[in-house]
Amino acid sequence: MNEGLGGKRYPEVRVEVDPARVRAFAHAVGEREGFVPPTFATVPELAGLAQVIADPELALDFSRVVHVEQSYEWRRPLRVGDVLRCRPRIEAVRTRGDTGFLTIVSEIVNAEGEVVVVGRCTLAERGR
Amino acid sequence: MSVRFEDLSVGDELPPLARTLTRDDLVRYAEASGDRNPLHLDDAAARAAGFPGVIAHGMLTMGHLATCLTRWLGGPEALERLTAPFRAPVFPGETLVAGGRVRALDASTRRVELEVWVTVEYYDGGNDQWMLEYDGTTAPYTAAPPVQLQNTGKWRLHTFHLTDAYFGGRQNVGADLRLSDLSWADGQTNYFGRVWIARSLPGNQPPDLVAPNRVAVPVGKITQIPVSATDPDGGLISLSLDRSVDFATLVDNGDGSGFLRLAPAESDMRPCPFRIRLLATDSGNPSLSDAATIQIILHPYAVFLPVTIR
Repeated sequence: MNEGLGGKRYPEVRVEVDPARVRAFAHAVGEREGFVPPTFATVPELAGLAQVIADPELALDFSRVVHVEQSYEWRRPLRVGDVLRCRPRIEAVRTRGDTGFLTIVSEIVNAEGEVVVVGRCTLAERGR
Repeated sequence: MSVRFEDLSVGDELPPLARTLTRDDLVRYAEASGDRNPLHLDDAAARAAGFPGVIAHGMLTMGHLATCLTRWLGGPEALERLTAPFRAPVFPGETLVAGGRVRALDASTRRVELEVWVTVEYYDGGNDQWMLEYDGTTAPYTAAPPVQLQNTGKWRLHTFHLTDAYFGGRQNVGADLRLSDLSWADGQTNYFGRVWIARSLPGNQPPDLVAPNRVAVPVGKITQIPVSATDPDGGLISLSLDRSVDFATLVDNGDGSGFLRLAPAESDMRPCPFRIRLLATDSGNPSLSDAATIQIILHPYAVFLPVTIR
């Protein structure tokens, strides 16, 4: 992985909080209906992460990647109908031994520009 | 079912939530989340990555933990932050048990929505409006509907019912609410007395009677002075005269409004004003009253006759 990419920002990706998707997600995580499960934040976050993972400049071998840590900070609950935009940014790329660690911070904002949730995802690219 | 901050103690255990994951659960999560990494769906891909077979999404484990928390909290609103380090892979057929223990409680940072009744005593002088601004859950300066002054010259009470008070001391570096003169149009300063804040609807409150301070009426003629009273509790109000004069009668419309009928005669004329004391009594138990004193000044009824001077 390219360790010089810390701080790189990626174009924002738009994701709508769709009721059918929320229902399917709630079912998948065993959540009852009536609200958007907090970890539904993963959906916009992943939509933004796709371009980071595929970035040739980063040169990440995704077949050797495991998810080692995830955190969310919610500023307000997600709502069905929210039109969210995810803004991913590489916080750090580091190597420890033969394992590379990639931390991506995703700011997820609503149509009014308010930050709804901030996701922090750490991936490890294990050595061969 | 949700917990209340007041009922918690450090060391309390969360009700554990168990779930045995199947391959179908992994497929369902992949579809719903959009994470279709073959590591979670295809044994061959998982073996190539060094695992004996497919592993569950870390985010499915975290989602299960979040479900345990929202069940305990009664919803997603109270959840502010969650961090999950994924220590070991989870394989289909394994049972996840989510749980937890209360480690610390901080009463100063807790966020709660309060339902409160704020009663303000104010001097009713002038003709402008005053307002209550309080630290609410949506904004530190949330405005309640303004109160119109009626220049009765009395100390009166007004009760606000606030359903979204936060009272976190975010106003003017540490205040929960403030009272202000909404406009300076009448050139008068507004005066406030006591403020009561209650967590439940206040008990029976006295009615509020509005009548003029002072009236000047001509003798030999009938004058009607309207009066009205309202009850903050919405009860029935009866009007009565506590101290009266011979030429005054009270007509009570039965809905809090009424009028004083004044029929002074020439013989009633005297140099100092008459005083009438009016009462408005509510239907509460025990019933409460508000009183108003009206000064009546009599003056001769001036009749202008057409006079022709040659």
